[in-house]
Amino acid sequence: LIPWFAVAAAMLFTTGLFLGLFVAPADFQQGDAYRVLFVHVPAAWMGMLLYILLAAYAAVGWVFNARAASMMASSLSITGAMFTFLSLVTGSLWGRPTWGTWWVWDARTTSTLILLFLYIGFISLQSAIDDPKRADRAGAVLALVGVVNVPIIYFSVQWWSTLHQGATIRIVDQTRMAGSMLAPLLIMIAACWFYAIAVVLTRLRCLIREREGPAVWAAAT
Amino acid sequence: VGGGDMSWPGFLAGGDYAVYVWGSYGLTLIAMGGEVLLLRRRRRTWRGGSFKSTTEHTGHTEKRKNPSSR
Repeated sequence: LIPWFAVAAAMLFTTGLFLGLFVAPADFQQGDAYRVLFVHVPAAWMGMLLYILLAAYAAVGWVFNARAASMMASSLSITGAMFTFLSLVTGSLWGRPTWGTWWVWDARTTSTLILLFLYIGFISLQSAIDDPKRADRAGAVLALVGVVNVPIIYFSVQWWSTLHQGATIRIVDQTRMAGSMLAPLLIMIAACWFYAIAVVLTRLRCLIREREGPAVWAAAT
Repeated sequence: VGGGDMSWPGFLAGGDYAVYVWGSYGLTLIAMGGEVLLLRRRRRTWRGGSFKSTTEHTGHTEKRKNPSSR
């Protein structure tokens, strides 16, 4: 099943990039700089959503002592950290021409940086503890404490007056974005989902294999 | 980019913001491609070395068992 997700991701990336780079017109205020957002927005969404998933799996693994769920959390942490890092770097590359600065300590950028540190903390905590059971438990505590940060990121643009703009894509309201720009963005987000599913599941297989030894894997296939 | 003029040099130049746009796309490509490559290597290590490690493992435990059973 994993190759299908990878193929779907590749196809969606191709169409998304084509629409985003060739079809979508230049923004009348931002020019072509806004095209950074076709990778920035998906990366930021993935960073947040994968963290919620990570915390949920870590909690399930902790409460029900389910090793597979804990391994899923470990697998998610790498991809989530990668996406969060990308969202920060691309945001910086977008902010330089648009805001005139690489970095501002406003609520959203700062809370996203904290998210990256939470991911890094989770990864290093898990790799620092040799016993996988204890590593999973310690990671779960950190992940669950850190999950409060996600709504802070999401609502930061409403709670505080930030330089970062509010949400343009509205779930209940009318989306305030031109269709020719919205379509590639949504396709890129879908592509990132498929990419993340393929990569996380592949890493999960590796983790199961590494932790449980070859016997379990042979039985599963 | 876009906007009617679709020539390649103009596209690659991407207006005044080429560095930022291509920089971010390039970094994304490097990060994702790197993740995929590392995963592939990781997968290959256990796929290729699985049989070897099993025999090594059992051989090791057998060696340990023998002196104690004697």
